[in-house]
Amino acid sequence: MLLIDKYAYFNRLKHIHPVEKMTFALCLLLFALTVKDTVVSLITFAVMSAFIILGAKIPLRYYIKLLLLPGFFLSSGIFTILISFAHVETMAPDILWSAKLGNWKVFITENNIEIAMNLAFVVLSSISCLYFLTLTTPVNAILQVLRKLKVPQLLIEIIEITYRFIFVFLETAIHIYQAQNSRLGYMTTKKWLHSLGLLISSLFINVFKRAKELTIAMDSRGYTEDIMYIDDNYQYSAANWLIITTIIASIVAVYLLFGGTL
Amino acid sequence: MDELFFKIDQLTHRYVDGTTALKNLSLSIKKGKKIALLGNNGAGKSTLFQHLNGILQPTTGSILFKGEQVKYNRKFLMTLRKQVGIVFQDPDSQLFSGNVRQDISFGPMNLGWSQEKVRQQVEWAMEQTEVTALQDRPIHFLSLGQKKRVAIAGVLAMNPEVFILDEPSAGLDAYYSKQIMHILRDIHQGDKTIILSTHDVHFAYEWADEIIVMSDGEILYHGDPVTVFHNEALLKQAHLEKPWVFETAQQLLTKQLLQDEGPMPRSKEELFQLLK
Repeated sequence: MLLIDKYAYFNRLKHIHPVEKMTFALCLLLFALTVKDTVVSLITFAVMSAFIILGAKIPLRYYIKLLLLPGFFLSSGIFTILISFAHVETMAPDILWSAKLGNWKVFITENNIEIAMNLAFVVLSSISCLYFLTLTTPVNAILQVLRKLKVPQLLIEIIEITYRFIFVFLETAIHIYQAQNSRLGYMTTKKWLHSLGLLISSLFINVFKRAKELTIAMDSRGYTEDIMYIDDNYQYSAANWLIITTIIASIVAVYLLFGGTL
Repeated sequence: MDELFFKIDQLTHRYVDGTTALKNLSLSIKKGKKIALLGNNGAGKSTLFQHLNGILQPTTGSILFKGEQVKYNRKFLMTLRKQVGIVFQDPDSQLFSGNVRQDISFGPMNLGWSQEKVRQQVEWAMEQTEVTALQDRPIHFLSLGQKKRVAIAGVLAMNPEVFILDEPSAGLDAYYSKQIMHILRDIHQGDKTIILSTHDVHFAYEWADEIIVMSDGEILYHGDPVTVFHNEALLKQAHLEKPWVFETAQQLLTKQLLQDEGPMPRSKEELFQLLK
């Protein structure tokens, strides 16, 4: 139903142990965020994209689309960093471009460009790490790891039930929408607004109905305090750990080689 | 054999909005029976089921489970629900976990079994309901029929003594309805009690040991699955049709194409046997 969710279950890396994937993605993410180095970010981005496209076989077009999603936030952020305003007489070094606006001038300095580029790359690399995780690991596999890490059960249960209900509501909303649409509920703007209101209010009622039904069903299956399952079977693989360590080590090495300090 | 599982005495249930769903209903459910509950929409079947699982509390009247008054404290409900499993009509309100196997293992894990035993039970339940191939799928990728089977598997895995199914075949195609019949037959051979509500009179007629007919919160009939279909007035009141096997046999008898001896045929096969 949601493509991003579907890929999490049907990709070529789905059998890899979630701990391995999480370690990989989170280590690279943390490193890229800590050092904020352009080269490191670029490499991270390249490695992650390669794993997503070549490893997990996510279609390139879809991956690019996903990358464009945060593009809006990124570009608006970069724009404000790039452009500086100052009084006309203020002097700034390394001005690459400037324009006068009455008493003010708008300008871009070399330094601004550097900061903006760095930001863009760091953001891209972090996004690619997160996409790697979301595109290759189903939510329940991540939750299984979180359980093992002793994350509070309540939090996990909330995530779990929220996740399930996203789809229940999406489905209900689609059904209601289709039913309204087939009876011409969205023909004019006025009707559109009216129908949408009805849709939202009936979804709202649905929330309570569903929640009640679920509680009853869970109780009747002997629910007491914690939601427990048998674990899904994943195999740790020495080869995977080797690859992960090598990649992380290489990135750290490259960083040190290019004059970074830890 | 005739051990009583449930003894319901003068049960009345009134919802908060004032509608009376069950009126002075008395009923005994014996161990090891296959019971089909028939009735029109809104007859109170689901309400009755929720009483059998301790989900609802009687407004007046009493329910005995294995001779003991049902109490609504945590401990008693837990023992009750260990022995009485209920499959709800709408699988979306029952399934909530990440994937099929996890959801099926939810109930057995609550029973405090070992991982090993839970795993076995889950495997077995998945095989019985033919969902093994779906075990890694998340619930939201399943069709209604698949969800329904997973919901049944979730209760099956808990191995309860009494099985309650609220319209198990509603929304399923003929193949899977039949599949569910087979599952029910298999479960029953393990000496289980099965109570299910259905609109499928043909199925009820063929499958059940006892038929209960409900209408408007009352029990109109409780007895063998043949007598009820002779009672025209009752059928009309409860909006029931006659099963085609029964009707055909009746026609054949009146036209004297069949000799009137022995019991009425209950299934297609039995009917065809008589025609030879």
